[in-house]
Amino acid sequence: MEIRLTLGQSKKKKHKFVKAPYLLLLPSFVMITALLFFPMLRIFYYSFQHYDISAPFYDDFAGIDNFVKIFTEDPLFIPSLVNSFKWVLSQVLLQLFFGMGIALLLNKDFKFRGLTRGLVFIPWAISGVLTSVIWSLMYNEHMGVFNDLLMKIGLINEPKAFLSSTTSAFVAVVIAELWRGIPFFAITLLASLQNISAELYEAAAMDGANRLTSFIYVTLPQLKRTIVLTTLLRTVWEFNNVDLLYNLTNGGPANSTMTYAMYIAKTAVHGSDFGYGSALTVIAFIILSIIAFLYLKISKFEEA
Amino acid sequence: MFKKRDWLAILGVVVFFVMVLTGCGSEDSTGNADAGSDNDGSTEEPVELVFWDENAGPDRTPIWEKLIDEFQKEHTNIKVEYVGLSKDEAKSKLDASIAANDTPDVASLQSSWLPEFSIRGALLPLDDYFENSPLIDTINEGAIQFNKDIVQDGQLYGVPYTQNLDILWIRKDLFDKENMTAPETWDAFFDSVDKMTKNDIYGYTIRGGAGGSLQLQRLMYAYSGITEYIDENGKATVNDPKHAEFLNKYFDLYQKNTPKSDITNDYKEMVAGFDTGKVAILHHNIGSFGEHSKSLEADQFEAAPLPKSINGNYVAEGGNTIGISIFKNTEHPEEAFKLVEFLNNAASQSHWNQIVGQIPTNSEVLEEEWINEAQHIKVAFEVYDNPDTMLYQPPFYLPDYRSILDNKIDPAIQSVMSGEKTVEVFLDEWAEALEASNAKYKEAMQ
Repeated sequence: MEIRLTLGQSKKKKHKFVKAPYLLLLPSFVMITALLFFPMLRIFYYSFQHYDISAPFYDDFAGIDNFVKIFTEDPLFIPSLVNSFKWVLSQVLLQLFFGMGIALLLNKDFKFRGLTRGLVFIPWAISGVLTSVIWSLMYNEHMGVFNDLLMKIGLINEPKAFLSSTTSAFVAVVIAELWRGIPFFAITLLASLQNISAELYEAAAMDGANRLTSFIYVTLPQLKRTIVLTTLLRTVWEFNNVDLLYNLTNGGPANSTMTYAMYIAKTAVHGSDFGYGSALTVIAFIILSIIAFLYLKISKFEEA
Repeated sequence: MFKKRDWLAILGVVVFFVMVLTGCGSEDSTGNADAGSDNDGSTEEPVELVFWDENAGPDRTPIWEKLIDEFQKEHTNIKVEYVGLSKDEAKSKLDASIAANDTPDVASLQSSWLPEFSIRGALLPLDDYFENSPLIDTINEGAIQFNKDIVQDGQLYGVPYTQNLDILWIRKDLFDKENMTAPETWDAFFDSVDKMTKNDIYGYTIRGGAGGSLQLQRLMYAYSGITEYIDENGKATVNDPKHAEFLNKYFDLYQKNTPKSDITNDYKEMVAGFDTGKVAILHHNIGSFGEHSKSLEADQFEAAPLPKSINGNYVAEGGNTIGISIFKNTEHPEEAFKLVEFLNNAASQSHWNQIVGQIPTNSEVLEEEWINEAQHIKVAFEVYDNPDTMLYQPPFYLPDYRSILDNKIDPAIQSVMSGEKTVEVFLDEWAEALEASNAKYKEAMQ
């Protein structure tokens, strides 16, 4: 009986309410609520309104009108969404593939490795606007380096306007964004590669593993957590990416490079229609949430 | 659990962050400058005005800075803060500022924005100020009346300081080599474009990117001679068969007589093509004179009016002016109007328009030597002073007029150029968008 009492008292003491952590967390909570949750809730609110800042006399409660219009009348909803999926898939897969290759190379010992690592990461440090200028000059029909090279080696007879064709513009922008995005995967994968114990490779070698099987059965499982996290982050970032597309093609020609995020920006910011733009944003939020949930479930991220 | 003291601590933290987030209270709009004296010698309270420029850039910003500097020297109690907005972002920034009730005191605004901003109650009527100002005797009466006519209540919301006109820029040096002169008819225009296309030179350049629809409609109406944009029954005239006839010929030039990249051409690319000698004819306005004169010698280029319509007269778009407006929220309307007066006086207008290359609205400037010597200004007067010239008026009053052009029609031009859409379908869609907007507007106004 006496022992029980002691245990009970000890248990009670352990769960004593401590205020200090809550007080310390409070500033972060206030900041997150004010800067993240409040704007998010406003977007949900505006999605049910006719809210055009250039025509306040049209503003009123819309109910689900905006959503009905998106799914039934909007000629750009599906094409822009398809462009976004094409954009995200091509970017994430290709950036992961090339980023992995570069990370594996930079993980080896060779002369000038430090300098090479620095050079490889430069594109990541360059601003989106500057990247756009560099690539628009390189793609230029009259003075671009690509046309010059392709004509010199005889692959084309006359200059091509890479960013001005509905068939080549998308590929051209994908390549430009790829150049900028690969270092992100290279940096994060290289950091993870350096944490893999050499003993695992030694054990695999003793079991008869060659380079390929070592990569498949040792490297990849060890990198799984990093790969899942970086691809998920990159999926969300690339889905919301606007700067390079905006500066290089502005969604054209004929909306062939109009992604969903850019369509939202054009509707809300340029078109001033924040009600309709908010409804588009709510749909994007739901799509990204579902993708993130399914991706983490399928990849068994928690178990990694 | 929490005691009273803890709740107070939490409350204190919350109040602190709310204050941080809201910018710690209101700002003193009068600033901290010492009291100064006006040029009349009287001591007045220091005043700070915020001025927004709707087309800032390396060429125009220094002009404004110089004028503001001179204004401040003349009015030592007034400090003006210049805020430059890029041309493409200016309208959306102004829209947001009006919605947030956080407008500047004074701004340079395109006249086509006045109907929308005045309906939203953002602008201060300037009629009383203007009638008691010396400007009433000098500013172009027609331009003032136009600004009154386009707004719903017939009041004056902007004093225009410059007027523009769409023209053809001709590479005279290239034309001289071929013994050709600037085209005076639309047939001659298409013929010249074709003849000037040879070797590495393109006869013409089409603006297929941002802003393309604005230029396109000016060409269409200049060709057709139609002067009514939307008729009394709410029917738009953009899809008139004459416009389709013109556009079919016009878009046939793409790739045959123009660079392939024209489909995404913006202002800068167009001007670069012309200034580097890749393009022989450029359709823009007299405002690009400054750009051309930086790259080319005076004898290398010249202005020519857009050819006369098929009816035999010049037809141009009305409201092609930019003016100075005062926002209703200003706490210093008197001082704000002093700035309006200063920026519209002869010296300021002369300085601004001479550098940019546009037409001043102040009659005193029209007597100056540079006006009589500037070939492109003479061309503009040739059109504006012609008694047969007619101006058509786009529906500036529609709040989504520019949004329709920028977000629907500009991409649709690219669909036509890439062969995905016919000219007829394109024009019908354009007309439908405007007619729907017009019907919605009329209903809301009733």
